Amino acid sequence: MALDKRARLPNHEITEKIIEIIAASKELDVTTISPNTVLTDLGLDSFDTIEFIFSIEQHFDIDIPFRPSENEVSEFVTVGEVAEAVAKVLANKPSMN
Amino acid sequence: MTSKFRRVVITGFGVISAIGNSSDQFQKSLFDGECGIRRIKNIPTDELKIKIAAEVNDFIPEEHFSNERNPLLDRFSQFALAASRQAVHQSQVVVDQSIATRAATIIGTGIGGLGTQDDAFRALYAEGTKRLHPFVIPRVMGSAAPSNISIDLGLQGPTFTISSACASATHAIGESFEMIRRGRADIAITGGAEACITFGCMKAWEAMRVMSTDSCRPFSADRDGMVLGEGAAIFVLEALDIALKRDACILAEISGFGMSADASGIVQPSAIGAARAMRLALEDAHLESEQIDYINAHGTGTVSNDKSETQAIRQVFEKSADRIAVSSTKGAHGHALGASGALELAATILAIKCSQSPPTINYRLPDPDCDLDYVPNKARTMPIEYALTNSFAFGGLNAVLVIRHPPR
Repeated sequence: MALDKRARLPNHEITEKIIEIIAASKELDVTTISPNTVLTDLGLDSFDTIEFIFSIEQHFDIDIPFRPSENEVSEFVTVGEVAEAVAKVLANKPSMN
Repeated sequence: MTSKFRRVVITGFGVISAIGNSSDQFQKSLFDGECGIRRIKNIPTDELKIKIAAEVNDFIPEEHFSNERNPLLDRFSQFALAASRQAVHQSQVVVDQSIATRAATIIGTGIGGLGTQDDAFRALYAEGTKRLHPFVIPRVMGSAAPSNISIDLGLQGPTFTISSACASATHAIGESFEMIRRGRADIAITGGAEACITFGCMKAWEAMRVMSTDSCRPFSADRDGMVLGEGAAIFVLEALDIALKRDACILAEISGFGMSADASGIVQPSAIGAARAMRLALEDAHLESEQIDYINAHGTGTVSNDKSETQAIRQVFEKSADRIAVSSTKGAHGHALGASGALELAATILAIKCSQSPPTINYRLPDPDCDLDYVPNKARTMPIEYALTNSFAFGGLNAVLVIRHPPR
């Protein structure tokens, strides 16, 4: 089923989806975002980041452990770091079968 | 100093809270450093990440309200009504025809009858109920609390709710103060009430990622968020001349009120906006900053609020900031949103009355970003002539009251 397919997604597909979500939320072109893009460079403040993480949780049906940090906006600095966190949660997600 | 305005005093208050359902119990718990934050009892927590709150305990509505009245009351109105009866009883004011039309009822609430709405809409959307009870609307409406108080006590003056999230009660009390001092009312029943600990509300707050999973530790370096509370505190405000005429026992005087909006982030606080509200309150009271002895801080226990509030206090009070006792009582009664400013005014009145600063409980580690005197963990005996109480809300809405020792 869909959830299991998502759980086996290669990392680049996770990254692509995350870029798609962030591009849509900030009305940006996906080609301007890469795994090395720093979240704050996209104009994300801490509340934007909370919303962005929520959208990712909704899409992948996962919980991402994350607390906003005032000084750095969040513990995630780059898009790639968010993708790594998602991949880790998906890898540990129990099978739905 | 002469003023064109009448002076306004507080002659009674009532409290329903996680640390006591009367002003006496609240006082004892407050100065003993009791923590009202516990594992949630009133709703299932299996699906919640946050399993703690400062719930009101031992409040049995049937002991307060008749079988006819009770079904019309959401929990937030029950709290407001019970606290208003305590307040009127303490003030010994008699509402007769001579003052009824000059008596205002202005109550703050962030959300209103949320529990009733949750239950009704769950029945409708999820359980297939075909019709809802005709009392749903009168229970849910944000103005239900002041409406029921006005009916219960026969108050016939201006009556409405003020809703400005976590500043609701302070705005309501400030507006009541304005009405009396400008002569639009002689007496006001005012304060705040909230009953927001429902499954839906907890899930929504969880999504904000500002909640602590274990406790509320305002200004402590290891603080990690706020804890929801519930309850009400309601006050009797009167024009000083009227209170003196009836020989009332005066608990405190309201001597200034300041309001501002940050006009910046919807959830991120701004030290500039908060500082401006404090300055306006001091100006309104014709006070210099060094005259303030105690500040009851908004102090939510989030990293962001406590740092920003500390900066704001430093901006306003400069060098005298170091000699002011600043405490947050949210570690005791939780963050009761629209009622929080009222619970904190109750704490401020008691601080003045008892010559004691309530402690900031659950404080463990000094934070370089929060470098004021927070009265950690233990109440402190000290004379208090003037105090400030701060409320800062989501939306960047700030409200500050200056409270004074009663005229001697």
